[in-house]
Amino acid sequence: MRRASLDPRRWPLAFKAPALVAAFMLIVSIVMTNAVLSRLRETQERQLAAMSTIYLNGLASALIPHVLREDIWEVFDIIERGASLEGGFGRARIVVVDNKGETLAASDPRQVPVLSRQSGRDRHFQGDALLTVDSEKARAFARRPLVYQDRGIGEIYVDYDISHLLRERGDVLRTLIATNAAIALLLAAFGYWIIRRMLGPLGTLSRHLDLSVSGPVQSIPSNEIAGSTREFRRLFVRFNAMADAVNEREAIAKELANEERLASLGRLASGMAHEINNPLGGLFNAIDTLKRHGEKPSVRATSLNLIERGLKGIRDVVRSTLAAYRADRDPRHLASADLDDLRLLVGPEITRRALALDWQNLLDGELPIEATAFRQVALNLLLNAIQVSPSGAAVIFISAIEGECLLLEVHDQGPGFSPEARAVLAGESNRPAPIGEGTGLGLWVTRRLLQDMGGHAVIATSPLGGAVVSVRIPVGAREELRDVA
Amino acid sequence: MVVGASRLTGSIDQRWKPSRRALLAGATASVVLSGGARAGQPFRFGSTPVFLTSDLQLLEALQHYLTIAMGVEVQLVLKRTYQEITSQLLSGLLDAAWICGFPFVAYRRELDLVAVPIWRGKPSYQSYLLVSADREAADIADLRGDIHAFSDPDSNSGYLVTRALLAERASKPQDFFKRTFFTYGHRNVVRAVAAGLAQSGSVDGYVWEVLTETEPELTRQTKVAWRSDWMGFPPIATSAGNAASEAIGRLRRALIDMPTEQTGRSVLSLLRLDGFATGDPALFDGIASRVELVRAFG
Repeated sequence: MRRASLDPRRWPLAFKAPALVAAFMLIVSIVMTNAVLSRLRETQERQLAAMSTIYLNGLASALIPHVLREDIWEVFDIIERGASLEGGFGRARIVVVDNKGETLAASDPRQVPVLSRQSGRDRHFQGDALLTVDSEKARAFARRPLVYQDRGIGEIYVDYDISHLLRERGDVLRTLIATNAAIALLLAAFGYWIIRRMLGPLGTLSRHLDLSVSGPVQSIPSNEIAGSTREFRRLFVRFNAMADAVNEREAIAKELANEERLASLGRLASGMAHEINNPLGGLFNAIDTLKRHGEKPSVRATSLNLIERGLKGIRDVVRSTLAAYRADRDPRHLASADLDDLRLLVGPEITRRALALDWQNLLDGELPIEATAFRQVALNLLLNAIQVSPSGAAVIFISAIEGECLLLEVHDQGPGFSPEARAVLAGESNRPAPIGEGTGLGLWVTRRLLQDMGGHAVIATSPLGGAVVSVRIPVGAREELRDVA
Repeated sequence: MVVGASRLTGSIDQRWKPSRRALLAGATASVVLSGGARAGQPFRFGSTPVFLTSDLQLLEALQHYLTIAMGVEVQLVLKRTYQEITSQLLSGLLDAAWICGFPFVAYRRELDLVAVPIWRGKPSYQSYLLVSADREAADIADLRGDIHAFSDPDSNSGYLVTRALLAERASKPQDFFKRTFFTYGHRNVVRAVAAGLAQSGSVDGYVWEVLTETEPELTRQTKVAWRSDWMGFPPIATSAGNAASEAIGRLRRALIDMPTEQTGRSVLSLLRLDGFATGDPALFDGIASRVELVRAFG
């Protein structure tokens, strides 16, 4: 209703239905009022015509002998006494003219003097009409020829005050409007109430759906289900079934993600063991040399140097592993060194598969980005690139600041992403890729981490021939949340 | 002339309390008898409606008084016009009648005076020319071209006086006025002028004065433009042959004694009259001279 309030199609049902009822009532009442008023007008005019005929017939029979004799006084006496009408008509204005059109007498002789000729007498009548109603002047005009022995001897003109008839019409109109407005309002209010009541369960449903965005989907309580209509009860039951399924899947996905993390950890552990194992042989050799030729300063210095370098290598490996898995309990800002650690972590895998890693870490200092999550994303993408690359191929890692974003690019020379994997990573699919392909779950986890950081991934073709995954994460977007955490 | 219920009997020939017996009796009497010696028959007293919404009450009181005072049953006969009353009086259908001075003078030889009413201490009255209250007029010359209401062609004040006035100016009503009509009642003349149906009217001054008391809202819409000189008040007359009869003597006595009796006084107060006097036919000389004038002019 807020922004789209001008478009009736977007109005809420709870408003639209009562408005429709009111509009419908309006149309009905207009039609009805017209019908009633026109019937009332017809009835009034019919009654007026009947009344007028009876009245004029009576008047004519009394007047004819006097009109014949042109007895002004008697004509006046009759019409003066006949001018007062019953039934709200007030005083009629009567004029009696002779066959020459001269006034014999009028009920108000000052207005219509004796012997005067009123040119406009017939202007109210069309053709042979004997009665016309002038609603504007609130008067009805009637005439009746005076005929004696088939000879016209004069005419009676009467105009009646019909304001009481018009008043009656006005009263009826007002009553109709008031009644119809009251009915329309009542119906609209009732419609609003009933629609609100009927749509109540939809509100429940929508509330539960809203909740599911920020957390697990919550089932609709059974008492609310029991209190709703049959259609909504079925809907609620299905919703609850769906909620259960979604929650279950969510749990499974979480578990899988953990397992995937452990699996990659396993791979890393074996790589690390290898990394530690490599200098170990050299170290033992150096210790042997020290034992045997330790007295020679040159030999001792060389051996100690060797041992130190070997231990340093081991220390680096252990440190970076610790850094990687010190994990979520300690969120901190991303430092350029965090990424360089990754290089160490994947080093053994690169060597094992005889790949060339082009490492371009262009970051400098700290960035307000969650280090652990970003390292996991970068590691997953690197591992994925390493996995798909054929032996001897090149992998390029680029990290840099691009505008307001942290840009991360991983190039490979692999066969490219499958549509499913692409959909998972680019966020078009909510489902993890089929399990068993190894990378599917890793990509899905990457997607979720990216979402958390407010970033997104784009897959394109790399100049190397394989695929390039470009990740952009807005810098500072999560800062607020981080500070709170 | 007298007294009539203009609303009750306003326009139509109608007897006061008519009965078939009385009609038959009257008709027979007129043929068989020429005088008033109709033993056992009611005394028939004729009149025309004059004014007043209280005519019914007045007539009842008058009939009641006359019946008691004369000791015979009195029947009041109301006619619309003086002509009807006069002709019935002349033909003997009526024993006596309150007529106008004009027919009395016109049929002077056939009629005899019974009594003359006393109004404001005099047996005389005036004729008025009425116009509507908002009009300026002081003379009949101002009324030229009017639509004019007369009372009755046999009325002195309601016709003859105005006609004589015009005759003095060598004119006739039909020429002087745009149109004239008769209302057959002085009160109707006042109504016609008040309503604007007529622009002026000739009316009995006595009736107009009484109406100013009883219906001031009616007379307020009119005003008197001209007053005639004083003339003999419309008398109670009988046919000359009947004048000496005992019944007429009793009628005269009853009329003259009216102020002495309770019912009689209430009748007089309704009529706003002081009483009745024997009267002198010379009272009507002024009317007679007008009749002469009109006859001479043609």
